[in-house]
Amino acid sequence: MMSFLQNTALGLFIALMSMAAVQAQSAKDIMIMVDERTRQQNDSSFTILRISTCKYGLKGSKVKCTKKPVVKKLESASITVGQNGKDIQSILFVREPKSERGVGMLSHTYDDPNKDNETWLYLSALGKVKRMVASNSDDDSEPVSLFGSEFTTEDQETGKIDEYEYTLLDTVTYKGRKAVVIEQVPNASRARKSRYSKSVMWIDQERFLMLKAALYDRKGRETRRIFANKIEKINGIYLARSVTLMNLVESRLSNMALLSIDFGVDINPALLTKRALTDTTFREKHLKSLRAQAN
Amino acid sequence: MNRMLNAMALWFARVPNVCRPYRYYILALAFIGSVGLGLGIRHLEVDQSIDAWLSDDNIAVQALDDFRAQFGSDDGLFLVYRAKDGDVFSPKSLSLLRDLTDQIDNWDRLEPAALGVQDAVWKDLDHILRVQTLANLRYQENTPEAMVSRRLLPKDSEVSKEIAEATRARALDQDNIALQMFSENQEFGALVITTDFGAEPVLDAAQGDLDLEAEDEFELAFDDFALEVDETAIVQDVEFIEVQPQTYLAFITALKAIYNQDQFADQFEFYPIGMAGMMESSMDIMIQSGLLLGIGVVLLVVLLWTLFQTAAAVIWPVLCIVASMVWVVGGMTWLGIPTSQLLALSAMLVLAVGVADCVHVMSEYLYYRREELNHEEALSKSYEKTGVPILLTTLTTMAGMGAIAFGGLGQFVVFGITSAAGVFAAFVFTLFVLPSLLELWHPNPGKETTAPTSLVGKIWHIATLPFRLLFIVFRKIGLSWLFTAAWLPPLLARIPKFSFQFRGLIIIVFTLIFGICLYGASKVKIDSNLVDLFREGTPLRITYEIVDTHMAGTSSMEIMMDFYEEDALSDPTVLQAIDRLQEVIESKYSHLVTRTNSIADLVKSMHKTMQDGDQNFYTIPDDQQAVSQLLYLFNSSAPEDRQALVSDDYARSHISIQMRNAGSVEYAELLARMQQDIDAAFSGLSTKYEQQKITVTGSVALLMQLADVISNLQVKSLTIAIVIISAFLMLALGSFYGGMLAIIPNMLPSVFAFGLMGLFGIPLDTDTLMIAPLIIGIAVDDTIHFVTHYRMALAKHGDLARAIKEAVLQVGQAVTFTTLVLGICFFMLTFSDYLGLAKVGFFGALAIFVALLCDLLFLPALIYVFKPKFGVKDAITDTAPVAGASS
Repeated sequence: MMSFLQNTALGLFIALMSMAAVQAQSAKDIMIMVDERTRQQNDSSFTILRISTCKYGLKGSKVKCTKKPVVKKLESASITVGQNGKDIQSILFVREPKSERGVGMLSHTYDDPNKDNETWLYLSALGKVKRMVASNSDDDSEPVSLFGSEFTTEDQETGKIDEYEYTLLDTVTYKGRKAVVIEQVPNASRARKSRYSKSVMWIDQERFLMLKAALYDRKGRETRRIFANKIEKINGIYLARSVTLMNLVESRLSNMALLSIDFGVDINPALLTKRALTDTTFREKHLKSLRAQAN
Repeated sequence: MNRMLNAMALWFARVPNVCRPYRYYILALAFIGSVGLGLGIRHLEVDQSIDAWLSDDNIAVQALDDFRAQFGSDDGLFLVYRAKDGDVFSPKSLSLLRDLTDQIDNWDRLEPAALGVQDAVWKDLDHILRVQTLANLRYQENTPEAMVSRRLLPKDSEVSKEIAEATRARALDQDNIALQMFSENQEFGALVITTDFGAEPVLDAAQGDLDLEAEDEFELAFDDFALEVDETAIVQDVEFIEVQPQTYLAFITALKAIYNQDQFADQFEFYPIGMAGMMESSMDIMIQSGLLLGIGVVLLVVLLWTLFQTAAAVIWPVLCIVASMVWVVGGMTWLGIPTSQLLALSAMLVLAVGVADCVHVMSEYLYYRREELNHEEALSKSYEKTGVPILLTTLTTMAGMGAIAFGGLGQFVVFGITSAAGVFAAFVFTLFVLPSLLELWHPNPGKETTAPTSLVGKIWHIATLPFRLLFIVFRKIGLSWLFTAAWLPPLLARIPKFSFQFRGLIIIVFTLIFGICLYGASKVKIDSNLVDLFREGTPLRITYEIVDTHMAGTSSMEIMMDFYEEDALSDPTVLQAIDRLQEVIESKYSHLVTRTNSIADLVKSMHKTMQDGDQNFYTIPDDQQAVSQLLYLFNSSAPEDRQALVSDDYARSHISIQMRNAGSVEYAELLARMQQDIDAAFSGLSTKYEQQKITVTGSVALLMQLADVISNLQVKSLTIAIVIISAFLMLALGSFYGGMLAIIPNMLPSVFAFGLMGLFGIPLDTDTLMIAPLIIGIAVDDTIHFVTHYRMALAKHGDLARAIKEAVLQVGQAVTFTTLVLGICFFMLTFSDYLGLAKVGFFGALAIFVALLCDLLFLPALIYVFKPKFGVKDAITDTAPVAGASS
């Protein structure tokens, strides 16, 4: 049920935004680079995200929420550990809304397929920590939502390159930028678990950043679309500070705004333990230190 | 008035002569039109949803639309199974269920040809989104440390006795899956198959040559995107594909091929519930109805043949009636108007009116041919005699049907317009096409049959040999007297005298019957019960009874709650009110309600889970933050399930109530009492949530509305029909008094049918209610023919007794023929497994025969007693009739 807890919002963000040293490479080469960069970016990062979800409509050729969006504000820190730095430990706290403040998740993700990922969930109002167990080998786990938004765990998975076929469709000019268009089609076993029959991605050829993606359902209809906006250079890396996923069927969108991101932050491993979930004073002390570094 | 009617009669007399030179053009036009319109029938759409019967602005429809817009629709398949070893938790049952679940889940890995299914049918299984059974259902295993999601039945290990028992114990320990997934006695289980029926968006599939550089409105809109709220922004709502009956049929056919494989069929018996399951039964019923109507038409042909004893008098009328139906049904299809089950009633009405029109014409025609008139004269005379009454009956019936259409309600509008158009088509065909056809080939009564010389004649001679042999047999054994209606003329000849002699008694008896039936009709209950519409032992009835008896029931209702305030549904006081209401509903109405489900159940379940599975925590926390965090957990893990349960802002939600099937009367009582419980449960919250609105919706609520709407409409349409018919009769008879007198025999057949139902406690349902306009339509048809003939004869002879005698003898035969033909056609429907149609057939047939008695006995008796002159001056009204043939 809670397999989404294996992943963090940061993972999603970086997967979508990762830069790749794309030259005149094959589509698969490009994706391998993207995946590799994602892992590297996970090391010692501290992020503040805001995910807003609403029903949308068009007004004066602009996309607007038709109702007050549901907003979640999250703080997250992660480090890479283990052999070759392939295991990831991360912790995430909900800051808003007020009623969910203090909800926390601690994840240990292992590269070894024989080792189950571990996630601990903490609901502050009940004062309970629970270890959520879901096996890596469980083939019927379904993609689940990230904090109730339109983003799903499937949209942010890494390390699954071999489960897809990639085709370089074209090189185009998109919004004034040169971009390569890559089609990603899941193989037979992957297709059974995926809600998409294919994805088409526009990647900035110079900044190596995904600008747009069109996601197609099992019957080949475009049902979702991702747009990247507010592209900025942070710590020498180009990133979009705003990523929006539109559900074209239900006219709902989720916008993930990167309020701040810092790489190479000194994270005390003590923060990535169960104590940080339950001990507010302990947690705040460490977070305060991270916020200071970020500033 | 008299002069106008006579002028019209003369105009009709000229029609065959005017048409004669253009007969080939007329026939070519009729043929091309019939073929062209007939081609459309292949695309006939039948809309069987309940809401199609009600107009879009109906409150119940709006409530349901509102509900669907917020929480989505749930059009899946509930496949109930019975384990033949009596235990769904036996190792064998669980093992096979696991195989079956796996096969349905991975249908695309199966070989359709090996299962005997065509690829085109097989592909409709891609509507399956999820299959849930005891074999793949998950549960949360709780320890103080961890929360583990596991399958009730381990995935790969062989199902031993120990594993099966452990699975049983775990399943029994779960909240809220009993009755949904397995019955109390554990003999029955269910596969819950979620589909995308009705939720599949109308979006174009990606084209091969996708324009990779194009920028659409969204891309432009996302330049400089900022998250802003504007309630006036236009939401581009995506339409959803309407599911066609053939899709449901293909789906269930392919699914059946999987679950009917030997290994599964040996262990389980299956009972599908849901639209796809229903569709199969509906199709069976439609095929059976078609078959019964087909037999009816064969009987019609045989009867016409035995009565007229000439092929041309059978083939041409049947052709005209069939063509009328083709024009109307084909026309509807080409215009893209979906129809409903009411199409069968429209067809019956067109059949009835068409048969009456043609039989009257043919009867008169043959009468004049026997009087030694040649073809042209006989045809002209027959149209002179029958044209006016046919026009009047057509106008009357069209006006009656128009009254239904002007009610403005969904399928009734279609029914009213279709029927009116059909009746008009029958009139046009009788007036222009029938005489043109008779020009090609017309009967020669009395002429000696000679051996055919042409090839066509020889073929015909051979083809009709069985009929002629039948007649020879009939003649030998004396049955020809019965089948050729040789008994009819002598009987008709006696009627005028009989109805004169016993006029007082006849009036008393009929009035008494009328009175009793009027009392009975006042007692008739309107109670629509789906199961009661199917005969005992039919698959659908068995399925419903099993699911109602052993599982969570076949009906559902929704209590829609809107508090108009953000986060109201995470307020513990609101959830506690919902929880208490559910308890009240489940305990007070346990005879109907099997289970309820709401956001309150979900919060309780999550609370228990987070407290190590301790049953003491199967409660709603008192702290709003705790509730919010439990809901957060649910929202994160299953956002689509959350959207189906509560709105984004947690202001709106619903309580689902699963129920056993019952009649509309019982449901209505339940709804009324439940509304009081709802008011009581939420009254304490009215100060906190001033705008709160709690309404009951769902298919049951819609069914109530439908029954209510139909009964109101029935009263309205009957009243309008009676007023219109009375006006027409007064006009046709040129007499207010005479019109009032003639309306009584027209009302009696309907009152008689409804009266019998009331007296014998047979409830009226939404189908049976519709027979009233049909019966009146048929009854008034005969009456108009009778009274117009009577009036013409009275004007001609000036003698009441002689006019009655002539009308009885001339029209009596045709009226009796149409009664026999239509009565038998209707009676055939009595054998339908669908009792909605069977009741229409039985009571319709009965009413048709009563209408005949009214026209032949009651109406003459009334005329003898009340002596209406129908505007004919100096008519002799005090003579007694003499038995014998008309002059």
